[in-house]
Amino acid sequence: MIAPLIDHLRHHPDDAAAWLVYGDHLTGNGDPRGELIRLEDQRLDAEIRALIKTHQPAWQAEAPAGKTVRLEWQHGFIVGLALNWTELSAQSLTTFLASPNALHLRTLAITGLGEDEAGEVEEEEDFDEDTGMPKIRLDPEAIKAALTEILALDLSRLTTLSFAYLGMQSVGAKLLAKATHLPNLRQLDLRFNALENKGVEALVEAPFLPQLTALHLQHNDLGPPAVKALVALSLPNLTKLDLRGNKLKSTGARTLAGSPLLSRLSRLGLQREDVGPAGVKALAQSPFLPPSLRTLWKGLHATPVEQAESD
Amino acid sequence: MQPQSNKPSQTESLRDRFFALAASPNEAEAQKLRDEVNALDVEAATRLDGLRVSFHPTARYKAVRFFDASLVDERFARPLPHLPQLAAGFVDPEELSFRNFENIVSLDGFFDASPLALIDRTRFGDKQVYAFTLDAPAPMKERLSKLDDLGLYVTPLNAASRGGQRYIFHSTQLAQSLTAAVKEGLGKSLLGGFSHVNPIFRCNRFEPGDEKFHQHFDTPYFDAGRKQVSRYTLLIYLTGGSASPSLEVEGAEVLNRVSPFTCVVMDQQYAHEGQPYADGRKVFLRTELIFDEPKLASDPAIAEVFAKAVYLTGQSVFAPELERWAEAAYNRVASAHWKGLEPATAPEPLLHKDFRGLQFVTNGYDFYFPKAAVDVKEATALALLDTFNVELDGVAFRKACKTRTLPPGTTPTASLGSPKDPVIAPLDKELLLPLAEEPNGACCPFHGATFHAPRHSEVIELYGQAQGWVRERLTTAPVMLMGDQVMLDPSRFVVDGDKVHVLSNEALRPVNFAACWNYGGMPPNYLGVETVVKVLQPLVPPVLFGEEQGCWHLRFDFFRNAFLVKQQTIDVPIPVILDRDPGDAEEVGGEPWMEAAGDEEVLPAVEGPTTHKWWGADSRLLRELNRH
Repeated sequence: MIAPLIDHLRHHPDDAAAWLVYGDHLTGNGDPRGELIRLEDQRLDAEIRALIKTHQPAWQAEAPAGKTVRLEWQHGFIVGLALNWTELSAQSLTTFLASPNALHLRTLAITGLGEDEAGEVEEEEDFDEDTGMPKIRLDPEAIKAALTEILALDLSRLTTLSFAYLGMQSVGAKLLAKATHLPNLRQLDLRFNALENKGVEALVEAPFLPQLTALHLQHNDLGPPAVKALVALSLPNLTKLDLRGNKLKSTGARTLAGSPLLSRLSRLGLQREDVGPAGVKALAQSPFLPPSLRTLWKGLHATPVEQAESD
Repeated sequence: MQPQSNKPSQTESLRDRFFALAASPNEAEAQKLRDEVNALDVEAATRLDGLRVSFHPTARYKAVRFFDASLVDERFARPLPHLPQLAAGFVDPEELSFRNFENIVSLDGFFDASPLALIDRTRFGDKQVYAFTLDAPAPMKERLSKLDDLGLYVTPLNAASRGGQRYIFHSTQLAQSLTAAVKEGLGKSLLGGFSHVNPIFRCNRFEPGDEKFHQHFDTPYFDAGRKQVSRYTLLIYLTGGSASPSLEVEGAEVLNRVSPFTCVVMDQQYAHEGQPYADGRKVFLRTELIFDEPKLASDPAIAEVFAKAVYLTGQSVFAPELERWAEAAYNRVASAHWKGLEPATAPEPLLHKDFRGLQFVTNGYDFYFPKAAVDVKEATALALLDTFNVELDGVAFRKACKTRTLPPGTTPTASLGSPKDPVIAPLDKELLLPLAEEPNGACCPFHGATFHAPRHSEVIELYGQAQGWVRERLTTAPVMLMGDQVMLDPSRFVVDGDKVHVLSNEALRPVNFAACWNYGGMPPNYLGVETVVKVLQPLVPPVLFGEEQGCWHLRFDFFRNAFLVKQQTIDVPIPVILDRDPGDAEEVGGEPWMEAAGDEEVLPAVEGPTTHKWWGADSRLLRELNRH
């Protein structure tokens, strides 16, 4: 009976009226978080502080602990969890996910997969030929092992999953694509992961991708083939797409410009450096961009600046 | 080394020949010059007072303007031997709006504090018209006479209705000396509430045979804010001569033979006209006597006619047939202050404008936009662009419109077309300000193997400060331009009943970069410019609106209550973190965003001498960035 309400709150966490209804349910079941919801609605700060002080140890009893762990709270529930995987065992997270305190967990952010991100860089192939900077690459086997453990968890409740800044490469994307138990996922963050085109080409096979409303792919090693793979997919709910810091070039921009995918976007993360002048022009002329974004790209097209390049 | 040539370039030659011909007219040479100028299509050299200015004439930049010489470089001529402080440039008359279509030349400093007196008072009949002789020391008379030889005459916009030539100048000193003379010479009975002589003077020149100055009312000075109004016109004839008549007031001859330095003080309620002298050049100054009027209130009906007259004068650049109507409207305004507003004798002109397929109708006061094409906020924004004749990617708005005068009696709301694509769109300003990435803890390019500019803490900090600087300028902007694209922020247009209020503005700790950046440049080397947004900051009273036959009917009552209506445009560079190779940053350098933000149009007048870059340790930009 209560499951539809919990599901509603998962996707509408700011619906104060729904939380009040849920609070009555909690109070009826002797959960003090029902009272907390009422007090927070009435903004009774002193009472709120007293109630939290009394009960918070119990509310986070099974939650993972560690110097990299960050918790996000709402109405006495842990709704967000960020952690470095190297600091935790899969078992500790399994225990937490099974507890009532994790019932409303919506966001999981993995902030680290490996020990030493800098690593040893001595050979020529260890340096990026474009930037001259050392490539930071984790051992693919370590990535596979960590991701396999993470994706084996019960993550069905999550609406947001972040693997940002991990450098997990296409091998990580391929594993992620096989995750079949993310029915509620809406936002996926894969920025700064050294993903190549083949990673995105694998990712588009993921069953959860059509559900997404936001997809962060900025600063990977993506090019036109990745764009081609994305637009070939029906992404009927996607409103935010970030592709900054990838070498899409004019070819990628043209592919994007010709896709109805653009018509639903309210945010398109792209910079003129990513697509070059011809790409800017293609986007400015796209019949699919909504008016606000189209005006912006027309404006970018009409105001060339000196450092724009990369075509 | 290649020897330097002293031969002027083509454009310098055009400049020099123009001013040589101005000093010594030669029609054959002038025609040759006109032909060359009409074939020359090059961009302006600089921008002053919101106008593009060229140092030489071109097909587009033809109207001469005088500027403070310290504001422009040496390519601009200083053609006036007696006024070396003034430089001359050429502007596009189609860029002018009511804010700047008069070139008021500053002659402060040209006159000294010599005492003046009005003597030999004569009254004409029972009218409030008086003549005097201006008594002045010889050097002062010499200065006054020299006004005709300064070379400042420019052809007025409404040339068809006013013969001769004129220019407008500002002189506080001359006005102060005349104020003392008027107080002494005019008599207390006429001077109740007298404040001062207007320091804005019009210097008029008529040659024998010029068209006469048609019967007209002088438009009174009117400032409802300061509660001041002019009641009398002051004329100072600098040359003598005869005409039949030289001055006629209400149909009666007042002056026939005029001696040099004759002054006339005349109630502004009288219609009057003047003929050129038959026997020589006629030169006279005109200004007003200004009085305090504590109960002064503006009349909306008069303000409406005045707004139309001002607008149609500007539009007469495109449609000369509007000049007559504008002149008549000025006269109605002038006489209305004394006799009440009389009905127009000719049908009021309406202009039909087409801006990229969006059609609207206006007379400068009323604007009609099709509801099917724009909402009332968008209509207001577009009407503002027209009113201020804002430049879109180098083209003035009015020039970008196809304009025609509608036949008398046309219904303004009839068949206004809509564009296929919107001509104006809302802009989510946050699209220009994406969040920075999380820092990765790298020290600097020299020490950190993991240096990556988009994730470096100091680059991110500078980016955040730059975004704050931009946000302060963008958040208050109701209208923004990127190239030829027009964008509005609907939240800056507040609809309240039958009014639209246009909201506008009247809004980085010291940046200590780590000392160990021994390689890879510095954070400013990684901050680029994604684009430049032009931000309009209009200061206008509420715009009245209603609905009429499928149209928005806006009323721009900008002259009511003497609102300080103004508009300024600033350039706002949008920052972007450059994903740049530290080697390039080291070798090539460049601080694109910092340099762009320091543009004079954004940060005018950095105070005090500085030996550093403008954005150096104690610069104004860094002080401002530190606030964000």
